[in-house]
Amino acid sequence: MIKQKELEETIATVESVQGNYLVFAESTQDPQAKAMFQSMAEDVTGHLQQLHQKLDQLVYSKWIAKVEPRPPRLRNAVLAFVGGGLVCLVGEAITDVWEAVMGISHERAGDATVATLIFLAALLTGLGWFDKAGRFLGAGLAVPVTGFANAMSSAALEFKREGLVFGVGGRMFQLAGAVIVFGVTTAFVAGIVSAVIEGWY
Amino acid sequence: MAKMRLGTNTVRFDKPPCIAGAAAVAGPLEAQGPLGVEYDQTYPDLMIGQDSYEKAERLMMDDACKLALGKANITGSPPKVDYFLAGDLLNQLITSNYIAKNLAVPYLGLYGACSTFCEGLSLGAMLIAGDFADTVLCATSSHNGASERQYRYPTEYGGQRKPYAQWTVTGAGAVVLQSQGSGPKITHATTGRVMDLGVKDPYDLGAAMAPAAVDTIAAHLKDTGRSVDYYDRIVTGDLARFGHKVAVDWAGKKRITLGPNYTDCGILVYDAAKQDVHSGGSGCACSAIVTCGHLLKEMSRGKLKKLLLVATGALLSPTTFQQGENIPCVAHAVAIES
Repeated sequence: MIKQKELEETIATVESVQGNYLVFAESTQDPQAKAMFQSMAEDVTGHLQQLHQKLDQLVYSKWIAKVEPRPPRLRNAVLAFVGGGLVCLVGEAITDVWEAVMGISHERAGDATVATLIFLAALLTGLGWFDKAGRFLGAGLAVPVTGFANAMSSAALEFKREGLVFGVGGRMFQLAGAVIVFGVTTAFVAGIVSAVIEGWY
Repeated sequence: MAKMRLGTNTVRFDKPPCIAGAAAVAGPLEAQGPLGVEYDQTYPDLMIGQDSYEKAERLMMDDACKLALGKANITGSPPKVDYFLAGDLLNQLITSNYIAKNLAVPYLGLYGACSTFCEGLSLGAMLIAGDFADTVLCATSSHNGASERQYRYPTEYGGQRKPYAQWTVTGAGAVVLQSQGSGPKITHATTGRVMDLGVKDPYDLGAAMAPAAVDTIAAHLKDTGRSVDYYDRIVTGDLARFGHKVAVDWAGKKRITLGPNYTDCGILVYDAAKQDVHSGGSGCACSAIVTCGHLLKEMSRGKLKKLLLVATGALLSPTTFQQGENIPCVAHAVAIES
């Protein structure tokens, strides 16, 4: 790994060498030697260009990372807290309604609530409101099941023009697929761990 | 040595080709922007009565070409055009290919990402100055919905965007170049080299492209012996607010002072205070609609005489950035003088 300091030192050295060549070219009387030193100085220009390019590559992305505007993390966190809380509040209300309407236990009503929230998120996605709310509330809408529903339904909407099979069917899981793959994998590992621990005792 | 060549990157046209007609068409968000009244045609929604974004983009490029040809008084079918040079952001240049099919004139498709507009103008001017053509039609387009679905996320996906992210401009621009005429002239073209300074973030295209813009501006000034102050306006294509700031600072490190006459189409195209576009505009259409819609009109109004337009392009593909590779960038400049 070449260090920035080494490159800078090398550039300084090469620049001074080039300076010497030019001085030699200036001071010699012999036209052949003059031409030789001038062409040597020109050769070094190529080296300098390449050295500068290497130095630029080394410093640029680090500099950009430093000056890049940061997302407003505190504001985003507060909005995510409020947004997520809002989704949960709505969820609780829906659960209470299902409990009362269908006469089932609070726990059973939770399943119906999840389906209702998925339906609502998909509906809002279709109406073109979810993306605007999501841009504002961020993780508050993305982390609950609403985010998953939005990822599925927005992809389904987007790719329906490519047909039902290759469009909707093939690309609906483009964004949400990862959630399923790693959700199932995590559940599998957690299941094994819990089974082993239970068997141990 | 080629007689119109200057230095390492530039050509100077002995008989500068003239811009005989130019037209800009723009989508709804652009129409609400500060240059809304300048565009030749605007559309109330992203679909423009079509059943896909891709077809909507095609319609826009078609409209832009027709309007530009009309302004240059070129009629007939096929129009009297020696070459059609066009490019866009969609895979396989599909928008340009379909428009070329309708135009039925000799066609060369160009891909320079968002630098395509200046790439087209440079090549068109070279074709004319080299006596290979009398009339060249150059066009580019981009569509927010069509490019988002190709490069990023579905339109309705509700993710949060980074503060330096840019908004792909929906619109199209077309220019008719002719060997003779009274319009503004393309006097020089500076072709950029591809720069890669290690930026990998596909949302930070402004920062990725800024060194390419600076490199091309530096080469142009060195080759022509002109200074920054020679131009009334130096305008980059789509660096947007953050990229513009980076370009000014990076140019400073290269001992070039970009002053108040330096701006960027990605800044001009939207109103940052009112429109939720983060850093600003991007896309092939960004430099095209600002130039055709606004800058060239400023020239004909006499408010602008010497313009250096530097369109910037990020040459990435969805595959390379997912595989964690750097984003190579290029910038091409044309000097337009009235």
